[in-house]
Amino acid sequence: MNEHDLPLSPDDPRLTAYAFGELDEAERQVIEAAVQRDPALQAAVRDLRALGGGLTSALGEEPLPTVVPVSFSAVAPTLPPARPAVPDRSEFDLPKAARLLRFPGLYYVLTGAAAAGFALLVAVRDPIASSGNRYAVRQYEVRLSPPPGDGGNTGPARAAASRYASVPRPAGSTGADAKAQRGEGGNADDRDNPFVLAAEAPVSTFAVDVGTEAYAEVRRLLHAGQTPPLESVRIEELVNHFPYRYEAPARGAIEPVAAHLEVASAPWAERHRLVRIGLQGRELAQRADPVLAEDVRFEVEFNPAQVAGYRLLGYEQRRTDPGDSTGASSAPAPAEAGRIEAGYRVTALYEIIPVGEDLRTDASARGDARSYSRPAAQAVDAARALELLTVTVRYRDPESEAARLLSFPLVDGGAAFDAASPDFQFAAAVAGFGLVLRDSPHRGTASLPTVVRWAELGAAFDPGGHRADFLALVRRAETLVR
Amino acid sequence: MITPTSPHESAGEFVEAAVAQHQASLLRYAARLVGDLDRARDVVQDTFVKFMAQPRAAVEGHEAEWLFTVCRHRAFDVLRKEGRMSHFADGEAERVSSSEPRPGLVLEQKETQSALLALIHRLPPNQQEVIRLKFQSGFSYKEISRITALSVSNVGFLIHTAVTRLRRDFAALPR
Repeated sequence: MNEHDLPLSPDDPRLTAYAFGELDEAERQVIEAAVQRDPALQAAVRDLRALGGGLTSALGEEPLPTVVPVSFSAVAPTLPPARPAVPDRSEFDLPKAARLLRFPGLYYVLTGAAAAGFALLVAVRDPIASSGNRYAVRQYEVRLSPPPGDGGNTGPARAAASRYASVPRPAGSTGADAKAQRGEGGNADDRDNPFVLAAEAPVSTFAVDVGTEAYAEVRRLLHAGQTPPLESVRIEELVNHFPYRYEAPARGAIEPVAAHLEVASAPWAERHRLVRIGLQGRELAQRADPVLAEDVRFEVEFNPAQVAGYRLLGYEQRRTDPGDSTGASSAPAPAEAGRIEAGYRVTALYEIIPVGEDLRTDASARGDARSYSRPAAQAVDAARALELLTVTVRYRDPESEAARLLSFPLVDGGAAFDAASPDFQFAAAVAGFGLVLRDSPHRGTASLPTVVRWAELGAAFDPGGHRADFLALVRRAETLVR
Repeated sequence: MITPTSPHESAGEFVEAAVAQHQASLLRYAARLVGDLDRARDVVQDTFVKFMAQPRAAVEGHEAEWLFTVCRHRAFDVLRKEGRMSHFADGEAERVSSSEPRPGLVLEQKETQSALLALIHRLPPNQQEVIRLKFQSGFSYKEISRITALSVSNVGFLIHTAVTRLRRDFAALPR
C-alpha cells in the first residue's frame, strides 16, 4: 500500500517532529505531502512552530542560576558590589579568575593548590515566576522612602497595596462566615491555628523571633519516659531547632535576608500543599557588621485565585494578641516586629488548601456548609494569577533609616512530597511529629511511623547529627505513645 | 595567593572555555534533575572533573552533548543513591484544567513568556527535561536521544506530548 495516501492525524508525533525539522528526508517528504493536502494540518504546523518559537524565547529568558563568588579578597574588587536590578547575566562578564573560583574543586584540581579560604555562594531565585527585567525588579522591590502607612502599622493600612487585590472576592463573605468556616467556637480546635480563608484574610504574618527551647523540653520528657503536655509542643520551635541549608545573601548585596521558598504536597494531607518559607540573614562578616535590619516584619500574602485556605503551623501563642480580640476583622493580629542579625535563620510552614479542594475535608471547617465560590482570575495578569503567594519582608535599614521592602513570589510547580528537597522533607517531618504529639485535628495521616519515613527522606545531610537524633527521638516516642 | 594562572594553562584553556560556555546551562539542567542547587553544583563539578580527564580529541566538537550526557548520568547516580528515583518516574499530579486549544497562538509579550514558563514547570519532569534540551539547549531529537538514552521516537513522543499539553494549557489561561 502507498504510505503517501494515508491520512495523518493532527495528533501524530511525526507532525510535531516535522514542524520542528526533526525528520529525516524520506519521512519528511511523506509528512509534507500529507500536510499539503490538508489545511487543518497546515494550521497545526503553524501553531506548533509558533509554540516552538515561544518556547525558545521563553526558555531563553528563563533566569540562569545566579552564581556569586564570595570571600576571596584576592579578586573580590573586580566584582560588582551587589546584584544589579537587571537580568543577571553578569557572570559571563566576570574576570577569568572569578570564573574559575566558582568551581573551587575544579580550581583545586587545576592548580593543586589548597583551595582553602574561599567559599562558594550560589543564590537561585525561584526562576518560575518571571524572566528578564521583571524577574529582577520583582525580587528587589526596594523602596527608599517609607511607604504610606508604614511606621508600625500593619494589616488594614496595607490593604491598598495588596498584590492580589484585583482578584474578585466571593460575594457575601463576611467575617462571621469565615469564623463559621474555620470552626471557631469549638474547644479542641482552638489549640491549633485554624485554616483561614485566603479570600477573607489574604495576609498572614509570623514572628521574626522564634525560640527553640521546646525541642529540648520535648526531648527531655520523652527520654525520661513521659509524654510531653500538648501545649509544650510548639511546632515552630521544633522545626527551628534544626539547621537547614539556606544560602545567605551575597556579601555586599543590598538585601539583608534571602528567601528560600518551596512548595510540595503536604505529607499528611496529600491534596493539600505545604509551603516552606526559609529566611536566611547574611553570614557573619570578618569585620563586625552593624545590625542588618530593624523593625523587621514578615508578611505572606496568599493569592485567592490559587489558595482557598491556609494554616500557619505553630506560632500559636505568639500570633494571638488578646487586646485585639474585640476587633471585627477575622484576620489574626499581626506578629511583632523583630530584628535580623548576622546568621539569622528562620523557617515557617504553611499548609494550603488549593482552590478546588473541599475546605470541609478538614476537621477545622466542619461548621457551615457554605460553598466557596472560586474567585475569577481574569482581572489579574496571567503570570501573577499563577502565583501561590508572595512573601514580603519589611524592614528599616539601620544605617540609612530608610524603610525597605523585599518581596518574593512563589509559583507552585506541583511537586510531590517525594520530589521535595531534603531540607523541606525533614522540616515537614518535624512539623508532623509536632502534629502527632499535639494530637492536632489537622494531623491527617501523620503518625509516628510516617514521621520516621518522612524524616528518613531528608536525613542524609546531617552535620552535627541532629537529624539522626530526631529519628531516635521519634522511635523513642513510639515506645511511649501509640 | 590565588592567581588566575595555573600550571596547567595549556590543557586548562580548553577546559576553561568549556566551563565558561556550559556551566550555567549545566547547572540549570542538573538542578532540575536533582532538585536542589547544592547537589547540582556537586554534579556539575564532577562532570567537569571527568571532562578534564578526557583526551581533548575525544570530546572536541561535541563538548555540549558529552557534558550533558555525563551530567545526567551523575545526577541519576546521586538520585539513585538517595532512593529518590521516583522523582523522575513521570507522574506528578496534573493540576491544570483543560479546554479546547485556541487557534493561532500568538506569543509576543513578556507576560506571555512568564505564563509559558509557569506552564512548563507544571509538566512532568521527564517532559520538562526534553523540552529544555530541545528549546533551551538547542539539541536535536537525535542528540537528546543520546543524552537521555531514550530512543529517538521516545524523545519525539515526549516532546509531542508536552507540546500538546502546553498548547492546551496555554489556550486555557485566563486573559
